[in-house]
Amino acid sequence: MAESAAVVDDDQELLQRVRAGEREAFYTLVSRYERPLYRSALAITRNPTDAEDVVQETFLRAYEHLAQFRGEAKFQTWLTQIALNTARMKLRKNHGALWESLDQPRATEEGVLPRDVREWRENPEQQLGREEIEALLHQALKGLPAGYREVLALRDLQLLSTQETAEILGLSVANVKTRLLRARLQLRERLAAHLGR
Amino acid sequence: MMNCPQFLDALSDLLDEELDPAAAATLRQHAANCAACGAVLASSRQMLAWMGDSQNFALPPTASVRLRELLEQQLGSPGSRSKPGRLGWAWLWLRPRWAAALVLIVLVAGLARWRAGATSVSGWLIDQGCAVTYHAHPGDHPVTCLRHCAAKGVALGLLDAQGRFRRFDARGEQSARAVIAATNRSDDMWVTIKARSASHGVLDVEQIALTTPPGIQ
Repeated sequence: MAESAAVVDDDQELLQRVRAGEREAFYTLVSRYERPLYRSALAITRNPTDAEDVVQETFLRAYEHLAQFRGEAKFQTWLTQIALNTARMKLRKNHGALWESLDQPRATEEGVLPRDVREWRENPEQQLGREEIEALLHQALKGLPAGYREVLALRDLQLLSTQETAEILGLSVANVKTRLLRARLQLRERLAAHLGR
Repeated sequence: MMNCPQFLDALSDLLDEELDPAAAATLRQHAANCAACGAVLASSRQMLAWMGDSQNFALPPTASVRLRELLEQQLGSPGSRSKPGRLGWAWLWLRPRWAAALVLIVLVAGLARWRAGATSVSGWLIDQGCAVTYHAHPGDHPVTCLRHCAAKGVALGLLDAQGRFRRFDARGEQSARAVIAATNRSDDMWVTIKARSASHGVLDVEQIALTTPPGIQ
């Protein structure tokens, strides 16, 4: 927690320097947050090129709109909001009209309860290799609805708190928790098909 | 005595260590005695460890270089460009009450244009607050949309394999889901919702739910 507070203070100091015209301070912030933002963007857009575009556009927009950031939220939260909206716009552009709701359990092929409850293989990294595990994760995430990918991206990839995730997604904390549980169970179910003993 | 559904309900909190010690101990006890829940807990922990591993989904080094080059190109070298921060539309996004006021104005204007027959169905739906409702009350938006639409003589639905319009029942989301399940021809859970009215025929409906709050464009 103390480390997190120190990072926030450091962000504020860097932002002051950016506002004073010191461009290198902005690049320091870019270096600090480009990786977590990319992880989320990749999970949401499902495409490395789109994810890279999202990160680029996020930092350009953040710089352009820095006057609107008053420091009421953490800088990372603000950046992530921009990245999320940029990723959503990219999805909309790629997929045309979209519609989905996640607040009712899916009545079709995937319920909330896990079906594959086999134990997973021991030491799957040794058997499959890290790249294969990453590919499995990527493939499993791809099949989830966007709302589930978003909550997993923020909580489990970017490691934001439930409260921060709720603020970014415009949901209640309770709603984030419900959505996160369903998302995790669905993701686990998809991985279990490949990793079960 | 805890049962499996209760365990699953609390699984995320257990994984995130957001339970008090007594509740966590009860859950762990259940997992120790229930092979299925034990397997779900262990595999979920494994999955989260992989998700949290920064080596997975990592930004390629070349992408980082491209980002720096792009920023230097767009923003200029240090000290060569004016200070950041031009007032744009972002203030709306960051000021929910102002955004709500704008939505109200847009709603009134949209209704006036709708009555005059001068706006599109999709524009009218967005003006109705369907998209904004998604953020405020996520569980409400499809029903709210459907009811608004039904009251205005607009049917929501989608096209089946034969290209026929299949409308959603205005009573709620479940009926919409049934139509989607019966007619979905997309390969990735996305469906294209259409709107039909006597005056406009069948049209695309844009951005009903997956929307961007008013703000940064």
